[in-house]
Amino acid sequence: MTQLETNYRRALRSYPRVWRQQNESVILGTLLDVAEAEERTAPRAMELMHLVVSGMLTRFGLWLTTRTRDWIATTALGIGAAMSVGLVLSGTWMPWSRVLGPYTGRYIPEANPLLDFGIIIYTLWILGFIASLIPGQWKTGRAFMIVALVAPLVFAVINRPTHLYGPNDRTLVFFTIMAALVLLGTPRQKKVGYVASAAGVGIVFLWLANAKPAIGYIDDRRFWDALVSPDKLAIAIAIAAVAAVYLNVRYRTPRQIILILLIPWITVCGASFYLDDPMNGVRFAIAVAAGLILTESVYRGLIDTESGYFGRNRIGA
Amino acid sequence: MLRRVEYAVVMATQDMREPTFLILAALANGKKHGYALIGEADELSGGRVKLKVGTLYAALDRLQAEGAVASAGEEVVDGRHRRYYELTDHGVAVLGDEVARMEQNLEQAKARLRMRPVPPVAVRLS
Repeated sequence: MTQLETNYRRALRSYPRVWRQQNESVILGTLLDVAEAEERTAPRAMELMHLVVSGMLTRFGLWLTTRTRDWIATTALGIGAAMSVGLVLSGTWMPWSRVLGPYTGRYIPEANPLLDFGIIIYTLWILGFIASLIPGQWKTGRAFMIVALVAPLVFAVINRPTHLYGPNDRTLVFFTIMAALVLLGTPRQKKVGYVASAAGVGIVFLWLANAKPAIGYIDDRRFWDALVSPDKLAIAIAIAAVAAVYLNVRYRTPRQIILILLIPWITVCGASFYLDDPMNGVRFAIAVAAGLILTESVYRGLIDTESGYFGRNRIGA
Repeated sequence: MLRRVEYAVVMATQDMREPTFLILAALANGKKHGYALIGEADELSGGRVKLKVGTLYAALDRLQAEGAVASAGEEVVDGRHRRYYELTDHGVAVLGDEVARMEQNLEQAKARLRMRPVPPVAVRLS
């Protein structure tokens, strides 16, 4: 084996083992053909780097198929847009508060980015959602979502010294992760994904509105503090995770969609616990790690949920 | 399973990128192996697109999953493994649709160029 071949084989280790078993000799043959045509006896650094990146992307593609990523993108965009509409109408901008304001004597939110930059983030999400509904306009929608990914980080940095009024840090983190999830794929399954997302978020807001009728308006702080407080959120995450594992243990796609969509909620929940008490944050992180190990063990057949048997022998039995 | 295949077909008909188009076009006149595909893509694009090996096999994986390309035998030449690829009937249809779409765009662009107002010709008096 020449040094050139050894170097290529080393770079090809970034590809998944299953993929290599089927394709390594073929891709290696092509790489050696190209090197010979270019009269090279050593690989180019950029060539090796590209191979490593391609291998990592292949791993990611095998783990999360395009269809799964598109489902995640659709659902995340639906949830994010519905939450944006909810937060705009219930906290950032309330057209009806001008009518109610004189009676309640409460603060009247205005749609002014200089007073509350949250309106910019929420508008980006709503525009991204609208673009996804127009055939052939997802490139524009993706551009909105890229800005929606970066904007919370920019605002968080600006907000530190200036102390402008804006969304809570939990909201900024939540919408950043959600934007990253949208950018994982292309929202294609619009009917089911959007209806389910809007229904889910609608239920949450109705619940919150009924639970707190005296609030007058619900900004994002109240949203996280009142309804989605760490303890309630932790319970909801646990229920969703258990549902993902036990209801969909045979189906890879729904299980992955549910578990990945839990990431922003888990992050916000963990951060809330940590800010409350760092030890609580650590306990929560341990609980999440244990849950993930348990989830993977059940899915890979290491734990037989029917007999409680533990071991690898069950696979294929 | 059927839904996955349908999904792959829908995916294949959307947003075809240039490397994908060049690979399909390179396979239009017969089966080819990886290195030959890189050379064909280079030639078809007039030397503009140099397919990287990682990009080529990622595209071939995707096109196989979409049912546009199929493996067409393997051989060992000078100790190097070569796998041949060919267009499937679906791949021929996808390429045909893309060519028709590009032709339509081309005609539209040409028509607009023909409609371009002619700038007034300056008349020299002396």
